[in-house]
Amino acid sequence: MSGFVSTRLRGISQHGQILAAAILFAAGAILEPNFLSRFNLSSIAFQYSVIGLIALGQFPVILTAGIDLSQGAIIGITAVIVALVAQVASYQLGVGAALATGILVGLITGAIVSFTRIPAFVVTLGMMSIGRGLALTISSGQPIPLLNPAFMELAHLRLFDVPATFVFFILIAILLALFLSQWPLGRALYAIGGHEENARLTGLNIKFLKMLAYAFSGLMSGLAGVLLTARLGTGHPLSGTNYELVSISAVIIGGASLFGGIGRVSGVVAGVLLLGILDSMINLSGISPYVQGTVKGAVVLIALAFSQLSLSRGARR
Amino acid sequence: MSLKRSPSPKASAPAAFVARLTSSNTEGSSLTRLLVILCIVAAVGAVASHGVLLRPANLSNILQQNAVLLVVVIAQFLVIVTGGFDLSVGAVVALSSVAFIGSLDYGVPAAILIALTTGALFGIVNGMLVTFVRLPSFVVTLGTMQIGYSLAKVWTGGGTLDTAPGGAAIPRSLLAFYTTDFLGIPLPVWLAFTILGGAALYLRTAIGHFIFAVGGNSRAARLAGVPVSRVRLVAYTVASLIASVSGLLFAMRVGYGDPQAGVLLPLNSIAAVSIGGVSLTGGRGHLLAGFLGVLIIAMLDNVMNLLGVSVFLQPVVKGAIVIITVFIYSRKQNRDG
Repeated sequence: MSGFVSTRLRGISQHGQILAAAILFAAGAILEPNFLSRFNLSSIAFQYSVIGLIALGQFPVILTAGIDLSQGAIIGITAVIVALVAQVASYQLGVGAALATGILVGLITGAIVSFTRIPAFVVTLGMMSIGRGLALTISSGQPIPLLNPAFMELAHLRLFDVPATFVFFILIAILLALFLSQWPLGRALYAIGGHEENARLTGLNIKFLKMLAYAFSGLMSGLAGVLLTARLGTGHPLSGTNYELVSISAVIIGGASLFGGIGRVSGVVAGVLLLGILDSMINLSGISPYVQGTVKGAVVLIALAFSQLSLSRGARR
Repeated sequence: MSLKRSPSPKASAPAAFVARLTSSNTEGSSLTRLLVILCIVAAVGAVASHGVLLRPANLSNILQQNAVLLVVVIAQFLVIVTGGFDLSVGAVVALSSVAFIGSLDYGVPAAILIALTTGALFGIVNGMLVTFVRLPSFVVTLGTMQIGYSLAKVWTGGGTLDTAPGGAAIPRSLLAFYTTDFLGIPLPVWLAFTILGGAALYLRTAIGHFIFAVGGNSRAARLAGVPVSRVRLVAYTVASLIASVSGLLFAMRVGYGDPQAGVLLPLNSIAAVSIGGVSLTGGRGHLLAGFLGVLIIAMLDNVMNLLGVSVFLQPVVKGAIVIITVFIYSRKQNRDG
């Protein structure tokens, strides 16, 4: 039960992350005249909705004390698949094939992680290499043009003048939050990360739950691959390179623990927004692009250090 | 070996700690397995490539091409044994290659010193954030990786750096260093061996010896009086210092400083260490493991190139090999308890 108690305590600091995202947003609006422009907001909203979707996929995996390094590679494969199928059949079929591929790769990863004793890091590192290799092989290393205007429209849809991808991201975040907090299956994911042996002894089907988590991560990566392809107009085999590192950062900034069992969806969303707003502010500030990496890295590390220090003062285990 | 009938796999972390105190055999046996795997890969590769793989010239070539990774993997090993990851190794290679070329105006020894100091500073920052702020090493080194690449780009203005601002370029003798053989083995590989020897000595020192205890069970180690924070801090610093040496090697190989060098090094080195049978949760593994892991991957690459396997398909095979080898280890470990 201590897992649930510490989840509560961590909740305080996650409100801190939402607050930090809000403050950063206000600062951006005041300091940068172009920050609130329609163009800027929609471009952050699109890019970080895609990252947000895979962060939502990464989160349940990290809850089970796992990690999914194969997300970027799945984006690459699904980007190629959706474009190829859209060329020969219809884009609807392509989207279906891409999402099915994402789920399939996730299921394979989840099966290897839960049925063997190979660490998730190694399994997903291997899957990353395999996935990227397959994406390059299927496409012969060339980007595949998308000749379907209706499909490309998907990335530019707006609902109530908000980019539809962003609405979609928030909607999935709400569903995931409800699932993790209200459904027994969702709460069981926290139990696995808190103490796997205890969770097993209480009769939870750990293998099934882990496969579910990786399959969901695969599905979200497939979705990201489809959206990126629609946005770019080509299915690029190298699409999504290093995205898994961003999604892991967002989850950790959101207050989750890499050792599993701790974290909330609201924190993950705040983590994604923080990264997005920071990115946009640094872009608009006119700092040389070479220095931007230093600023971003330093700000993220300092923010993490503060949240970690306040956390250990408030609730030391 | 008395631990063969360990009651539950969950007891393995403290058991590993006790095992390290009581017996030194556990590592020896994993190294034997690794050598067997290496021999199998070499034999299969030799047959598949009609003997080309094992020709001395080809072997020397493989070693020379992988000298940078051979050195980086030693650094990665030291961090992984403490129970962490170092994703900043590639950025340290890039930044130190740039720092070296960029300070050649002050002479080669000073330039080497500046490059190594830059690397060591990164290690100190990594180590401080991991030990004193208690951030996960994964996010810390991801952040410093971004910072390292960014600083290297700031230094060069984005592109590669052929000469220092005053016009000093890398001396020919250093470029020749990379391609010269001694006793049939390229000099950069001798350097890698030297660093391997240095790392072995470091593991014999009071502070280095404890990295196994810290990685196995840091709480038990702390209760046993091990200065856990200091051990970790020194391990990260030594690791980044070693990574900066491979930055120097990289600069000698290509003749310039490259702010985008080594992008694949972090994951490749972790893969090599895993293939070597080192536990990613820390506390276990043999110093030679990562080194031999690199050789396995390198021979595999070489055979696939000799056989004309498509470059796009090669990562698929490599990924599968990583998973399969670690699977073999995980089963054997299971049996040993």
